Amino acid sequence: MNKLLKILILFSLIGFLSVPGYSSLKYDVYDTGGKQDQQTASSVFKKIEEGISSGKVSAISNLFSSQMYINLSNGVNGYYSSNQAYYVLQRYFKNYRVISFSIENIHEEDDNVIGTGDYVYFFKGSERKAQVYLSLKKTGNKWKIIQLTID
Amino acid sequence: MTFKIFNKIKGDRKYFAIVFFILFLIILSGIITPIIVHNIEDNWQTDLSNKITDIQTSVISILNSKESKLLNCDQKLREKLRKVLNPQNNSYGALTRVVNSNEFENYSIEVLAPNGRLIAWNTNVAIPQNDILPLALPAGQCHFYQGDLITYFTVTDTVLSDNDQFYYVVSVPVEKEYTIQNPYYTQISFIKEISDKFQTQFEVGYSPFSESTRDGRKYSFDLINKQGNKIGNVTFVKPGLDTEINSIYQSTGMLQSFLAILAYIFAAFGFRKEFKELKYRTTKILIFSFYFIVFRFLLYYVDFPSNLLPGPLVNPAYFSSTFGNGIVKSPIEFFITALFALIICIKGFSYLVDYIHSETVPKSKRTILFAVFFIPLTLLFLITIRGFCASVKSVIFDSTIRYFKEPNLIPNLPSMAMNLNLLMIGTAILLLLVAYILLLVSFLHKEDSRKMNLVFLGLFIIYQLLGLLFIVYQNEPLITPVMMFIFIFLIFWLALIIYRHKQKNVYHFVYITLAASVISITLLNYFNLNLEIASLKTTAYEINRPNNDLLHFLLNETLQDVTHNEDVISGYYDQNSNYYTEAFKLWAKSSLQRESLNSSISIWDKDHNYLGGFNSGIDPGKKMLKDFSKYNGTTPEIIETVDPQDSTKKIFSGITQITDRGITLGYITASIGFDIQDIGTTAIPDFLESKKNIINPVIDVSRLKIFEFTDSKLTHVYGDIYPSRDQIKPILNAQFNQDNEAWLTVSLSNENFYAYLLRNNSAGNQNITAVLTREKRLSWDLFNFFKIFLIHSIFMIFLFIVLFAFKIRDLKFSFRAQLLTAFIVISLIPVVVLAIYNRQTVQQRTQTAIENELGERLNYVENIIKEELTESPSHDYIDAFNNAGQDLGVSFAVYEGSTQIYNSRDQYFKAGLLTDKLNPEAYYQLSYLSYREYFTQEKIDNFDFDSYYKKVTIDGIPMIISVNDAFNKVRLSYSVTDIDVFIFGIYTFATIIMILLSAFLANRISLPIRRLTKATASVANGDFNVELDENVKGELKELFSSFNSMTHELQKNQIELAELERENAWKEMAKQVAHEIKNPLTPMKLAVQQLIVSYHDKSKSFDSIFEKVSSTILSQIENLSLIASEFSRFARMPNFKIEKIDLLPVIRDSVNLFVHEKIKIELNTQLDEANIETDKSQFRRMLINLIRNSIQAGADSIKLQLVEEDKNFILTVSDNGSGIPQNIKDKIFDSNFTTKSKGMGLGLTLAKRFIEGINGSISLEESEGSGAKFKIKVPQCNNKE
Repeated sequence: MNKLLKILILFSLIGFLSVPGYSSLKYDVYDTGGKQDQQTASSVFKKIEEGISSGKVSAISNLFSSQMYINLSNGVNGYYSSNQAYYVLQRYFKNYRVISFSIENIHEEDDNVIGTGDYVYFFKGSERKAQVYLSLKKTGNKWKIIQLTID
Repeated sequence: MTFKIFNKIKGDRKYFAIVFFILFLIILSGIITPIIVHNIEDNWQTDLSNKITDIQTSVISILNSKESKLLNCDQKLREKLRKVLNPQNNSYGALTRVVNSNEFENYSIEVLAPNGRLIAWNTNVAIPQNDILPLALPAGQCHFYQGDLITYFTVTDTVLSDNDQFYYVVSVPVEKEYTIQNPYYTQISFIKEISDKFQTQFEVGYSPFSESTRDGRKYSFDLINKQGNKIGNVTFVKPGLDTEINSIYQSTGMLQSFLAILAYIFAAFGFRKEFKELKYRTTKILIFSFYFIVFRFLLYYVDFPSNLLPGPLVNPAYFSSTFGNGIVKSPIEFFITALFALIICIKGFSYLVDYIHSETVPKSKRTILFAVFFIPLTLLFLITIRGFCASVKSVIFDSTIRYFKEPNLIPNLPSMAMNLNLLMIGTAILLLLVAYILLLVSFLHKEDSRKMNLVFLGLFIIYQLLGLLFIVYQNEPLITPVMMFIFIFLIFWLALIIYRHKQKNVYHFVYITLAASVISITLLNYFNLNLEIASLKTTAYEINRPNNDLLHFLLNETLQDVTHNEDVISGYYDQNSNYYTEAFKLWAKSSLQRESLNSSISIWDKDHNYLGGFNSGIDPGKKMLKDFSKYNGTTPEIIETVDPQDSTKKIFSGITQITDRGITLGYITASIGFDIQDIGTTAIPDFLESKKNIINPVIDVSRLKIFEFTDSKLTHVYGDIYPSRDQIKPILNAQFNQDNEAWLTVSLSNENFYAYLLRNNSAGNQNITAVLTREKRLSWDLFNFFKIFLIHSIFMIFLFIVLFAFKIRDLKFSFRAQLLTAFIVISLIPVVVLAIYNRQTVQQRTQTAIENELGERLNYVENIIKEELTESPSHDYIDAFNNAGQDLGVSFAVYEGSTQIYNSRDQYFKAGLLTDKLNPEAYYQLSYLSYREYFTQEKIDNFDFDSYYKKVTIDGIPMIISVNDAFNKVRLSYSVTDIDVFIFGIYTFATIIMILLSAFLANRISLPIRRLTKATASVANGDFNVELDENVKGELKELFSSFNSMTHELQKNQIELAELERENAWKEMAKQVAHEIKNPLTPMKLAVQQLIVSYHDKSKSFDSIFEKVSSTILSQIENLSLIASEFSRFARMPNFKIEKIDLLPVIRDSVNLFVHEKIKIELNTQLDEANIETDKSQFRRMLINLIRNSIQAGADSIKLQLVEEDKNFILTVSDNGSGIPQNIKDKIFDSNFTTKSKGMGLGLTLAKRFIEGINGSISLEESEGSGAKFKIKVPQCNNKE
């Protein structure tokens, strides 16, 4: 009896601890979740500015749309799921260490907002500058990043 | 002293010593690093100087190595040319073969005649003929040659042949001046190579006139060739102190991470002995699992191997999921997680199978256990299935790898790794699922196999129903009912096979892996279909993405970049500048290429004259500067204009002024356009296509139908269906959600389409974009299945090899292994031959189809050109080529001699992407061998294409026309890869089935031999009661019958021999006893007679005689007693050969002897080891005797249980036979007592005597039901070693 209990505990543990996928039991490609209060586009850009300036993807990850277009100077180019976008950007910010990031111009048109600015970073011993294009789309009462170009 | 310390560190201590040493190193590195940093800060100027020198030395060394390789190639080529250019061996064919041999395929080779005419070349022509002579440097000296797009490291040398001096040039590319983000592009960059190596920014001037920098932050040095001539200049950013310090901290961190991992591994080795000594396997498994889970998180915490490995396996762009906070954030991290999960699951599964095969849950507890655990285990089962589905969904949705669209049979590394991950995780999950079922089934164990089958069937039906319910009650099920049915069926089938098989078998893992492959590929296919549907949304976004803002941004970004581009500025000063090349380089570097939008870049001089340009899809024309008449030249200006080729299309154009030190040099313009019609039909060839379009697309855009509405009016249509008003009604009336999107099914032309609608408001208008694709039912797509199954098969075959390698000893000797090998070899040879033959046939046919298509295309071009010239005789033939090129839209080139005189895709040649020299082999075949046509395969970087050349006469001039499929693809129903997938997929599947079938047959054929072997082993162990089941056919029946007769005869003879021996022994013994007794009896008799005589004679010395006689008699009695003792000692059991043994293998070996008899023997123990001191063979003989007694008492089930109790091991042997009657229970250990018709009745007596001889005991216990139960108690071995 003892042995049976141990076996049951063992398999439950193995089942829960070693198999990827449980956290994504409710895999929803269209909603990446994340609470977001009603915000203006400019405040969202502010948040993005702060997040990218600090090199923390987690600060902006709840703004990622389910399929996000990313075009980066390291050759990353295409549509990525929000899960992928998180690590793609994390890797980029790690290798192209941010010095400063700012959104210079914002152009709003109904549910779409475009922001352009500069990403100054440190790479191979020197400081470089890339231009940034950010596109937000309002879905419901949330703003989501649908495109990020750092080139 | 040191020696003494090392002597003390023996055994496990050495591992702990290593661990402590590693921990010491970690602490030491933590202490030393700040000191090093401080030291570097203090001596930075000296260090910097040394570093600069080191970098300079290393770069020169790298270049010297390249130079040596080039000169080596030069030497080899010279030797070969000397032979082929010899007038006696003069053969152009031989010269062509040497120049085009594989040995020089990475080099560009050009051979010039003494008069400077190019006579031979290979496919990579680096230097135009006119630039070779006069020589830039003396012959045999290496230098750089800057081509339009590629810079070469080159050497021109001479070879003498019959007093004629031939020139030849060997070049190797060192720097590609352009970058294309796609898989066909091969990067070659000396600058990148050294920049990556030294982690600083480099610039290389590939000219002897390159100057050193005057910027104090940079350092320059000259590049000198072996002859001491300057050939270039290198400039690099001096290493910064901050960078250096960061690098040191980073290196220390990596070193500490690596050391921590090593310490963790060595610590495990240190505890190996303690781990082995753990008594309970459950504890072992838990510790084992815990160790691996902690190990996984340790690797994750130190970011290993992601922080060490370069390359695509660590790139999250291929796959990354946020599961477990990042433990599957890249293909390699997923691999490690899946591997660890698999290891844990295999270990746990093996443990469960051992348990099921060795123990039976007590009857009384079965129902309650089933009732308690049915619900939790079933829930776990269903949740695990959902978890697996979610994992596979993540593999599809969180990845840019398009598993079913891989262009090659064997995919690239990330795709291969992800396929392996999928198989591993699938196998791990399937092991878990089968384990759940086995556990449940064990609660319902029935002795009768038919009843057991019913149990399986019952559970199977219940699980199918619950699986269906599980799907129905989920909001978002991840699996279809049909798939759920198949999965549950497979899981139960596997569980049944494993449950029925009495022993754990490695083949079970192969079956599970195979099933895991089938299930995971099915899920992959299913989710890929979901992704295709979801990609409608991506397409809608993609259509809406290039809005005015984006196009404006892209133009502005491109123009700002070119404004300050030093190459552009210096290009204006260079009279020989190729502006087409410059424009192409600017285009390739910009987002215009990466975005795959129709675009162009043009370069103008300060007087607004067109200098050159590159365009793809749109050509704004040479009058476009008129649109910028008000441009003031301070910043780029962007305007919206109309496409001159199609006035319905709007384009954005921008201009920037190029100035140098305030002087205007010229202007650069860029244009960009987007139209719904351009989706999926890009004007640029595949080898320049954007990675986004090659890698990302989930769905073939040409299969889509796209409608755009503005304020409910249909404004744009893409695809071959123009919908009617009725047909668009459902789209316009669709219910949009809060995200302004809707999914619906629309009927068009009697077909159903999935539709995704995206609504947005722009400039006060409401726009709707509808993207539709044909409804596709889920089908068992064989192509998709085999495409992945083929990859899985490679891993499975590797698994087979590993499993066989582990059993190599069996393979060497076992009859079954020999049979298996023979079967596999015999069956595989025809399969492999057939596969290769079929593949070659299909490949030939495909090539023939392409050749025919290109041949027809070429004839068509030829006819049109000739018609043009016939209809308009006044036309120049170049005009005719131009007209044909414009009318046909087909890519073709015309050569006169070996030089191209016309190409319908002129801009790619002007840009320098393609050479204007005729393919050397085509030249040889058509010009020298006088063939009329030549078909070949060619390459641009990694892009393969087919070319067809034909000799024609135009206007009386012999020419060669070529067509290829680099620009106009030849459409075949199936590509070679498709065919490969089918052929190799089907044959691999057949191979696996054959291997499994061979294993089954080999097992079945060798079974009687294995039974005979076991029986013979039993006889060798003294068990003559062994009997083989004669229910076989043919010679085997005779063999088994003879064996049984032999054992009966042996047994009979043994009994007779034993009786005879016993009788002889008794006789001998009696004789000896009589003889020995007689010796003391004689003096006793004489003494007594003397006493009697003395008594009758009333002798006076009677008293003394009496005393003497008494003494003699007593002495002789003592002798008799001694003789008796001696005989008693002689009759004792022979001496045992006592040694330390582990009881478990002895018991298992004994049980194994009965594996082919109709009896179920279960060994139940939680112990891993049971060490005692005994005579191994005696103990085994005793155990065999007990088991044989049980069989002879009619038992069909024997249970052995081994437990530990008060420093003793208790082995109970119980059976369900006829048992031992109450009245004889006391006599069973008596010698010569037996209830059997044959035998001496010494078995249990000897057993008792043996057990007592090793300080143990054996007793007959009260059994619970019928049958007998013996309890054997033996002391544990105290000596641990």
